[in-house]
Amino acid sequence: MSNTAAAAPSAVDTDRPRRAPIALQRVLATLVRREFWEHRALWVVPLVVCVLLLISAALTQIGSGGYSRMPFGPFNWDPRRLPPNLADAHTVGIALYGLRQWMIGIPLYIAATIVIFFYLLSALYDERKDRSILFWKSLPVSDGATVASKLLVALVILPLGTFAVALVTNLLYTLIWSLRTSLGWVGGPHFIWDTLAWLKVEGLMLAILVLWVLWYAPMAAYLVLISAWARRSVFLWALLPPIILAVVERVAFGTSHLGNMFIMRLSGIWTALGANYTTSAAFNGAQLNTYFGRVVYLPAVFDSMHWAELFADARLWLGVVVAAVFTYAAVRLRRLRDDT
Amino acid sequence: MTTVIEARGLSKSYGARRALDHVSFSVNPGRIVGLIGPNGAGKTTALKAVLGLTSFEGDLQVLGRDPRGERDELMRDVCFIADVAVLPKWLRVSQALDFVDGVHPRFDRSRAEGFLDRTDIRLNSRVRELSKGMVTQLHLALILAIDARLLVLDEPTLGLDLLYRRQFYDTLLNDYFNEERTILLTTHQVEEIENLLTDVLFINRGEVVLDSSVEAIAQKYIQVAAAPDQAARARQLKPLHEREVFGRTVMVFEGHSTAELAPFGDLRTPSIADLFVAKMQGAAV
Repeated sequence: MSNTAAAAPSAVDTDRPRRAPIALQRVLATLVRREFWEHRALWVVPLVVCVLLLISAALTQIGSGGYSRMPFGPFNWDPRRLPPNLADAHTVGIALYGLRQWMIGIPLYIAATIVIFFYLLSALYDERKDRSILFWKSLPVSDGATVASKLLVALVILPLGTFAVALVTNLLYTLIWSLRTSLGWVGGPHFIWDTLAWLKVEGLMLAILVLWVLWYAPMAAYLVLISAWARRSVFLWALLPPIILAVVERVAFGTSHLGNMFIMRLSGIWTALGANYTTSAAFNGAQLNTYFGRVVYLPAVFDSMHWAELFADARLWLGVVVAAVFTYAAVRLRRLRDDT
Repeated sequence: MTTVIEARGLSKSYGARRALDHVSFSVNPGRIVGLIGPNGAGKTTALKAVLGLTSFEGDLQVLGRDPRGERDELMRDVCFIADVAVLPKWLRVSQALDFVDGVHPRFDRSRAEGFLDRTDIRLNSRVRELSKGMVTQLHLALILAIDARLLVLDEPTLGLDLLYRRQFYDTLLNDYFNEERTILLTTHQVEEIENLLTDVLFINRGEVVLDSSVEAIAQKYIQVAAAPDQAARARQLKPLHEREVFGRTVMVFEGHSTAELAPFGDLRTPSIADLFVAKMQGAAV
């Protein structure tokens, strides 16, 4: 892409060799790389969690004492109290595998959420604090592309990256664990691999991930907006406006619509969407009876979820609109910002 | 030839303080313009306006564009070095090259690497590991590899030792400047860049005090080192400024001929630093 500078000096400036601006995709790719250079936590933290999970796969004794130490479900040792319709061992094995697949994702997603929160808060704040904004703004990169790159990292690349890391971690975990069981080092529950079931659980997690990302998009854009706006104490500024708005409403009108709205948004998509839809039904309907308790058969959850209803929820898309407004405001603000 | 910068009635206030008060000036291609003024005179504000880093009132065209709304397009043709330490500390030298290469259509990476080869800077160093002088060298290497038309420098050598400062300006002249390129710079060390400048723009309290080419200064301003007995007579011609140096009165005159002033003592063209002092202290009286 680089050209020989001043290859053809000319007296009239309109004769200067015109160079096409660099394509937006390439600019964005460069900006995204930049984010990973600056915020190493973005890739270090998921990898560390991955390694910790794999170490636990190699060393922990979960389940080695047999089913009695299964981490989930109440135990039912009294045969008279066993439910009548016990699932067969093969199905239970597949269900347990799916649950472990799910559990391995959880610490990764929690870690990624924390990293993204702090990343977004510093996104447009640190560059003013260390004055590097003067360098970034001396280059032909629009404020829109800059803000877009931050949200691209937070809402697309890191979630999908975490999904990929979770997927790989699970496969490695399976490999390590089956090596241990085949060598007879651990006994315990039999996790049974079933490719279709595995795909369905991955699909379930991916679909839920997309829902979560859409749900939290306005909060992400809000954090970017605050990071462009605050001159100091960016963390405090992120918390204060919603709290103040809720308190003012409470004092002025005696109502708590705003407070409830913020809490609903914060508490996530399960509370907000799950209760009103068939989500809980999907989870409840996929329970297997085993002699150590009830176990959710996640592949069936994937089948019985009403995805269309979930993805068509108005609150979800209203949030996306709000996210777009916050993003636009952040771009406008950054245009006015320098190192002061 | 079109002007590089055309500013008319530029104003900007920070609260009650007017940083720029109806400032008008223009900069032509192939010039090296020194924007000179005391602290708080509005230099940096003027530069920021040119770079699209701040809002302002008035009319400003840089390379035919309004920097307020077209900063990113403008920056294809404009480069900028603020005083040291705007390169982020976490950035590696190789990453700086990758980044500029990835966003700047006029960046020539091999040229930048060529400049870096001449320094002690290693490609895998982080900015935080480099000395102040090396950071400036790095920034300069990036800028020199960009085929830009306007280079804006805001105190680029602040805090550097003499060797780095000298090298900075030498590199700028030898490897960057030509008749199509324009440099607009501010510095406190006026003496060091006197011989570099083609034009000066004095600014004080948000107003342009002097806007002149260096050749025109020689025609318009004369400095007289008057012997003590001549000082009183010379003073009748209303010098802009006077000061005592080794028993002689050094006066700066504006708009008088050499023939008029020759009887009072030795004549010379005031240095830009002398003229600056004369203009600023004259304004303060």
